[in-house]
Amino acid sequence: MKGDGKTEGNELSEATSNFLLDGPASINDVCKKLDISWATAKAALEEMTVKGIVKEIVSNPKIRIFKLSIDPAFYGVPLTREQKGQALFLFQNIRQEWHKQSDKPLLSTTLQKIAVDVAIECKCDIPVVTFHYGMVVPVVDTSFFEYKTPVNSSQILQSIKNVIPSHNNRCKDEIDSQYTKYKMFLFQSKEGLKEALNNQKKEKDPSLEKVQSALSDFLIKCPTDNKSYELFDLCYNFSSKINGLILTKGFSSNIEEVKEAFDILWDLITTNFFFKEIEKYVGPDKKEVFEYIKSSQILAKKANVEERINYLGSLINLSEEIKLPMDEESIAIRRILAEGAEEE
Amino acid sequence: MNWFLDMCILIFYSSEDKSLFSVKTIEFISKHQNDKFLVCYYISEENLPKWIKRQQIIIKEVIKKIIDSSYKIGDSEEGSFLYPKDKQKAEKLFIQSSLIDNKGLFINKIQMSQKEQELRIMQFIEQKTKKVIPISEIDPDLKSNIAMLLKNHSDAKTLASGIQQHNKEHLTMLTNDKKDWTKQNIELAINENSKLAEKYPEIPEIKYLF
Repeated sequence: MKGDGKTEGNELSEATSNFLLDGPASINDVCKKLDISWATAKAALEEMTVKGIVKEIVSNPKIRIFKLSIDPAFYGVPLTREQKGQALFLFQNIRQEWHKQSDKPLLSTTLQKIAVDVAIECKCDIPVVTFHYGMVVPVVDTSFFEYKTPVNSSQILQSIKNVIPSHNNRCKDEIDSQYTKYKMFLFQSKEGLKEALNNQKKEKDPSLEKVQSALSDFLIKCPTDNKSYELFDLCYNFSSKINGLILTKGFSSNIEEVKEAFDILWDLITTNFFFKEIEKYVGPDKKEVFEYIKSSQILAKKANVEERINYLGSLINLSEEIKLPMDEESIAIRRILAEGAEEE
Repeated sequence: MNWFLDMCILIFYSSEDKSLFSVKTIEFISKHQNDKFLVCYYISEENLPKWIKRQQIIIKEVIKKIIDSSYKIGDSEEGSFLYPKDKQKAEKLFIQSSLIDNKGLFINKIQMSQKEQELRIMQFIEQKTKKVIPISEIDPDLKSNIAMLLKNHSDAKTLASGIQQHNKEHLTMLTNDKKDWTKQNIELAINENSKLAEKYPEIPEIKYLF
């Protein structure tokens, strides 16, 4: 990249953009790849940021990471141009085939659900991961990112034709049917809890048992492996605060706060799933960048969830009398918990 | 009359589990409801929150074991904070869960039981007790002498708080720990050091639940 003036600047910008088609990169990555100095790479990326060609997605004293503004990968995770291209090819052809088979507008939820079915059926290199509303192909359906027709295009097109008739294009049905098809028990449980929380507003106290039961079911379905222990802890803490509100008769009056906290918790849970599952699609040369993107997303969300859960705890009113259940089982549990207190 | 409460009194009072400890504690508190109950800051701000945290971990460990029966209680990072007696409690609760078909209901029950206990203890402290001796004001010499004797820093801080408060206002200590909370232990710890003996001339009486 030696030369002078505007042409050199344009060439550098083009080469950088071309490199970034395979996913975000740090200033270091750019200077190594293009064999330019660190200062030149930094200046080029900053200039491209001003022009709106790239966006800085991680910015800390250790590293600065940039992605192409048109990069369609969710959270800017480093997927190759081929992976993104195949996903966009898939989306485009699903839309075309849908309009051949139906005159109804295709919902974006249905588009994603069909894309997942096809990607799994074709066993191609199109990433499929879990996200907020189930499994998705984690690429934004955009026309700005150019791509080439993949080599296995005929296989993909045939699969699209086969899969479309099994989709009715009703949002709730599409979601439920995917949860059932892929045995997404935690997601089904989440739906149950959301429903119980929404009904709570209408029915008041009689529906509390439904909330408690849905909450226990949700906790049972939460992952408890060592890698997910922080998530389980947060779910447990959330559940514990809800129980505190129920015991002190503060649940119904704070239902909106509870729902909001649950939405934020769910966002964190599914973001964790997303990064855990997409990791296998990320090349070894992009692992460092991937880890930084992952941390920047998860840490901020986790802090927010902790704050919300603590806030729920602050709503517990200790002046309300708590009547203990006196059935045999509850008494036995309390006795076990109090055992050995005299030795404390 | 002023009663300086050991932590177990708070736990047994809030548990209402028909055990002899719990029955005797509730009887005592209700019989003396017009008296003043004192709790030291060390118990309310440090020791009790740690105990409550361990109870929460016990419940979480039981839930993990219910979800995955191959899970070994105490194997998680948090589980390592549990004492052997805590793990035994978790095992007992797990055994109880195995007798019940509806695991969701049982999980809800153990979570609720823990939360009830936690909130009732907090309520008792807020509504029925006066907090005394901030942690920073615990006499380090007094605490060290008691700790050397009992080999237990937690009891040492609580007892030191009680002795210090007793020298401000007359009180009786209430516990059921007959092994460590004894007049003889307190006298030994104080009289070993002439400065302490001079500083704390009054030694509080200790009463046991039964």
